[in-house]
Amino acid sequence: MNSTRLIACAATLLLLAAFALPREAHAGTPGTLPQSPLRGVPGGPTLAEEDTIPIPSALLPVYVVTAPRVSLDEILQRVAEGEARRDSLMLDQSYTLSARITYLDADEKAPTGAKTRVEYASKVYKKRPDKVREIPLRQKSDYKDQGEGIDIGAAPTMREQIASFAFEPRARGRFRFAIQDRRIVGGHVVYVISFTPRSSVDPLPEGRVWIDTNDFVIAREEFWYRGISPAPMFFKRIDSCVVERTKVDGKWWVVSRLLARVQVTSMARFFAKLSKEPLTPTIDFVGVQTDWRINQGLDDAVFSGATK
Amino acid sequence: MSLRVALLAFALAFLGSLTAPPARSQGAAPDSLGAFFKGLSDSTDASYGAQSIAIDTTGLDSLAANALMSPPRIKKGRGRLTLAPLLGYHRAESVIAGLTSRIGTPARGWLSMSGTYGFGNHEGRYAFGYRRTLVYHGLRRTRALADPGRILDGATRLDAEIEYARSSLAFMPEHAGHRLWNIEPVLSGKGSASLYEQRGATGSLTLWTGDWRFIAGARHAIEESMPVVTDWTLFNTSDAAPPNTQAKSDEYTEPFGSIGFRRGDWEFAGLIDARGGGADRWRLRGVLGKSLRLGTSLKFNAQFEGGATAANAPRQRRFEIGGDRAVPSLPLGTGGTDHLLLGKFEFVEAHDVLRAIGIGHPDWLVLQPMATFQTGVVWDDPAQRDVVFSKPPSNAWRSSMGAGFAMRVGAPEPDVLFRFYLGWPVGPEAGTPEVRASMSSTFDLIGRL
Repeated sequence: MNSTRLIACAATLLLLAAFALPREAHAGTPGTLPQSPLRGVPGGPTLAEEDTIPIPSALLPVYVVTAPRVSLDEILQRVAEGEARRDSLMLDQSYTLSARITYLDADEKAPTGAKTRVEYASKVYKKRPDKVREIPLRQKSDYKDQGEGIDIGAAPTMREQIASFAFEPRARGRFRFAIQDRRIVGGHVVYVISFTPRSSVDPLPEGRVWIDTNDFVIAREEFWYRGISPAPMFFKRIDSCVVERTKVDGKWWVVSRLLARVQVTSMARFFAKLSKEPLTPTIDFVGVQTDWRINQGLDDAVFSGATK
Repeated sequence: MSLRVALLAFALAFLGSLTAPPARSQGAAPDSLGAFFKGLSDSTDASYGAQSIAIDTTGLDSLAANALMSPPRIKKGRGRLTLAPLLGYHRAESVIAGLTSRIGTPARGWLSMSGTYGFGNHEGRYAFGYRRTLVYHGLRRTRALADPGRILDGATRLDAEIEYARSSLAFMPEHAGHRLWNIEPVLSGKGSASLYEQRGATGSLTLWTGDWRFIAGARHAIEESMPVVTDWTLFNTSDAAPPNTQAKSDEYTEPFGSIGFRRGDWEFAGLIDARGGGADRWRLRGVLGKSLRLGTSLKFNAQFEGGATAANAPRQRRFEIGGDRAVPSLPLGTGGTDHLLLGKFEFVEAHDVLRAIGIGHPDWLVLQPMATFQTGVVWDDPAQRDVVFSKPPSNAWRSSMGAGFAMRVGAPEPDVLFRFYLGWPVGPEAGTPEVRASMSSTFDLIGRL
């Protein structure tokens, strides 16, 4: 019985040794996995024991690797192509548009006296080549004409030039571009590209865009007219315009929100007062596009009731 | 028992919350881009404030879902009658007052009517027009079709237009500027071109496509001269008002056409206008305009104009060279010949002068320095030939220079500038120094395309 126990113990030890020793033996085999001279060096990197990457047996010289990185010109070109590709692949769209115009005083101070002047909502259907139908859903206004003259209508095109205007091939020459930032976010390389007008005589905005380089599509844009007004007699400044895009169905970047803050001049306010529709120093505009459906195969009958 | 259940639920919830972060971190790769932009969006919300961004969406989902089946009835302003006053003053009419109106829809077209009465000559002027857009690809909006067309990137539009009118028209209309709402004739009697009367019908087709605009049409008209009926001016009553050039009585039928081109990115535009009407009436005019950036804060605008008409063309078809849009040191009406050449050059600087020198000013008064140079010649072909090309006499060139300020108005066109400057003649017989004020677009010899 005792001998049986001894045999069992010996067998167990041998079995354990059979599992354990070969690993140690492999690990210690010179030439297979060499002992790193960095191992155990104070301040050196801590290497995992199970690391199977061959470790260099000596310190190697440092090489600066230079590889071609996407140039700014190439980014601009790819953005133009990416936007064109995005547009060309869309066959139809539908979305709900909501807009709001707020009068307030936010000229270089915290907003006060905010008053909603217009709220508008519509359902928009578009189909290539140029079909569009916009069905107003709601309209609230305290203008004299109850907002009858409001024209926030949608265009039949699926191009979103409000986001890409500076990158349109015809407009690019009028702006100077620069890479402002480059970030890796969730596996996407996001470039922040700034643009400024080449000539300060031109009433063009300056701003910046965020470009997702997976699709080379503009994901967000901010622009403003702070140094020069497009119409100095009426607009003192356009502090900010923000265009936000959202990815729908995992592949379509579409404008989800548009915001603008406009500072109006004293002359514009004077004329508005004469017409008994007084203006505040600041006007905010917000437009939201939700419930996006893209390439759902809209029937032509949807557009039969469209007003041309 | 219930306590235990509650504790268990709390524990599970707590465990869930403990385990949640690893779950988020595992899914971080696809979601973090969204989170990144959400963070920027939140920052935008904070800068605008809740008072501006919160949109009431209550009930919107159901309205949107039923939009096609039962669209809500919302009153729109389409088809409303628009009315606007017309007011002016001219030595051949005295005070004129009237109304202009328009009604229509994008589908049915636009009917326009206008009428004025001249309190000096006791005559009425009127126009009835109808315009319909036959083809349109582009921004199909009520406003886009209500207004006359223009060259727009990616838009194609074909308009048909007919009009019957009895009008007071300006000589050399391309240089004449605005007749209505022009205050200068009231102040000094200057600043308004001579007028003649035209009565007739016009039909035309206009096509805008890509960077081009094409016009083709026909007109039948009767033209008569108009006498001066008043010499009153506010500040210059002792001096007689300038004479009103006498038009030649004429009745004709003519075809006319125009080709215009504009490329915004090239800052270049061109125009060719042609009128027929027979061997004694044809008229041809061409303009080129080009802007150049000189550094980051200086702009150079150049325009070149050339024209030719029949040697025996009526006076109202002939070319003049005076006025703000040509050689400002010469008065309107200078010339009346069968050929024209004109070059206009303008420098505009970007800086706000008043701000730069520290003078307080209203927020809308942004004055930019500007300088101008104009040179031109009008002449008759020495051999009285009906030719387009003829060599101008070298001693007939007239030039002027000017310096002053420009103010960007931005309406009704984005490039409209108000110019206030001192212009002086260069060389002999080039007129007299004048303080000038005018409002026009960068390429004012080309106009709206």
